[in-house]
Amino acid sequence: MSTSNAFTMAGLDPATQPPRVRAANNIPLPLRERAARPHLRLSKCALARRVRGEFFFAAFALSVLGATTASAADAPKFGKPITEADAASWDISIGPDGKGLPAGSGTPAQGKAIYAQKCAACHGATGEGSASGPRLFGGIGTLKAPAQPVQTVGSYWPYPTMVFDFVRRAMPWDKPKSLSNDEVYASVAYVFQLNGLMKDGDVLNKDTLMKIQMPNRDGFINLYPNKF
Amino acid sequence: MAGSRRRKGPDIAQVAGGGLLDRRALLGSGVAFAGAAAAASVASAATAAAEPLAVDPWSLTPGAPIPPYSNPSKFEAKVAHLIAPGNGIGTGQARTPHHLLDGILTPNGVHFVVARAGAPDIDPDKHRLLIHGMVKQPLTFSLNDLMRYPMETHVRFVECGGNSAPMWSKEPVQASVQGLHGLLSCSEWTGIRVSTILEEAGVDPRATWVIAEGADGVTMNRSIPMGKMMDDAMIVFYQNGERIMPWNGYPMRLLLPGYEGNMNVKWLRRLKLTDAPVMAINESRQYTLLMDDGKAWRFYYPQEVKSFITRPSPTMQMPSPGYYEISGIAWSGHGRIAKVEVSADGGKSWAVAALQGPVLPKALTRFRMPWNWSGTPAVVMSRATDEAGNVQPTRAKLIAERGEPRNTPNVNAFPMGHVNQICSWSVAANGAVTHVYV
Repeated sequence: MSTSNAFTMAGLDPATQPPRVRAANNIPLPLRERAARPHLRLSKCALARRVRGEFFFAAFALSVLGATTASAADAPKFGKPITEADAASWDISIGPDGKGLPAGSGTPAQGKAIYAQKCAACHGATGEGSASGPRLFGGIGTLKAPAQPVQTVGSYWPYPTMVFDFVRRAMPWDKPKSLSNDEVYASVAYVFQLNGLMKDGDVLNKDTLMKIQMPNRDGFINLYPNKF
Repeated sequence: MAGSRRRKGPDIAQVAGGGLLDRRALLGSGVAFAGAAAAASVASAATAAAEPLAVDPWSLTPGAPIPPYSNPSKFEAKVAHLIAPGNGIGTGQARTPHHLLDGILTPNGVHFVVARAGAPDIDPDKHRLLIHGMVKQPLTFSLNDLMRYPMETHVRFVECGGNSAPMWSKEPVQASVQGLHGLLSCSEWTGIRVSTILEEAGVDPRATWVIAEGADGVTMNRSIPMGKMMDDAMIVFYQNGERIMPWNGYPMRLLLPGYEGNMNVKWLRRLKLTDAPVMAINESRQYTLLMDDGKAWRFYYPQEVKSFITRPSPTMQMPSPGYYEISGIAWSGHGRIAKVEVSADGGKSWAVAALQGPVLPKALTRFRMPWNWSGTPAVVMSRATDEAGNVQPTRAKLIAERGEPRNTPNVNAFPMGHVNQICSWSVAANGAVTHVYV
């Protein structure tokens, strides 16, 4: 591999180069080539001609380290600063701690009306599912063998925040992100009601959502970081 | 060919039961080819030409003009995705035809796809990457900005966490290796290190996760451990020398060598540094592994060591007894393939296959094994070992770990993730190849 780009990292294989040794790999390739073939450099250097054996290599290694430092100082920076406020429209991730849940609210009854209009075509008239969209309720008690598992929001999803986050980012399938936050709360409230997790008259908002106890909340074993 | 004459190669070339030959047969050794020639004579005698050669029509006229972008010969139209439609337009899976390919690189047009909302039509001049969360300074980058950083090129496989799921079945599912193992591809990827731009934003030392998110309609997201992001994670722009195909993430995707395909977020638009996983639908609902006791594993990241034989493989028909090259692919998310063993007698005896170099880490590795098929029923299998010492497990071992499969699923279903058991292909006396359990 040849290069005229001083920033190139010598094409080393990242799979074999953990981060702790990467500083040494930042050496521009031309210098690395000289390190591998020091005579190319030496023949032009009167001082170095008098330096022999290990002393030469030590001296050369120092010069390479110096080059590395200079290279790091000159590292390219092309990112443009932005404020978190200006990034807010993209910052839609909501974790199990509920941080980022927006203002707004909705009831199962409001959600039922939205569902009929925007969700039923795929998920069935009352959430029973169809060839175009998965079932939204039921299946509790089917996870253990030998039952055939029916994995729905009610039987499988461990966090209420997942439901809000997914509906807001990805639903309805043909027009994602078109629902207002009130509409998301309402349609999610309807799905929770289908699963017996909310009653008529309950209101879903960022506080009540965090009180929903998902039936399968303790159903998962994290393989990372213990297994890997 | 049922009941046809049986020919055996000389004993010197046999290295295991069922007619496996010494690997030197691959190198053109005269000794080994003596056996192959004896078998081949059966076929050549049967097909001896009785007519003089004709001059073919394509030799008598100019051919097609050069197109701006070439496609394979029309005679190769079968080399295509196998598409399993999903719930809506633009959803579903497209599988790679491994039984029709050789070498280790997947042509871009048949790279596997798992689609949730179609391929977005992203204008590369308007695409942006946002880095924010637990950083000193949130940053945005245009594509042109990103492509000015030091580039690297690596051959790496990408495999869906649900690849080989139909192997998790009470009865062996009958399908080609495209149907069984086609959610796997391998490309030469070119791009930049994620660590380079994370460092530019200034990583808060308390940040332990990075949420990676795509710009597609469903805005798919996954939580990636910071250690992986700072190790060998890349943002890639080129796939086998040309810009990434729209279905594979144009204009850029995350590449996490060796990790579950879904984490290699396509159409990457955002990296948010956090101190906890976000528990997205694709890590706490999809891509979880439901065990017998009703508990589910999640965060299963590396794709474990696996191999399968592509020739011969189910749905194929062996034309006659005689010399063949058993060929297949092996790979591991833990590094290089160290060894592939092949059996032609259902696992009673094994011989070490030749690995086609270069053998690269977290890339497909092609293996080859010369074989003199006697024409009697045979079961061919492959067993891979990676450089970390992981050995591809038997079906029984996986079942002991996870419980019995609960049903015999449709070939397109996903009853279990991260299935890497040894696969067995039966060759009947009539040459038909099917999927069996041994």
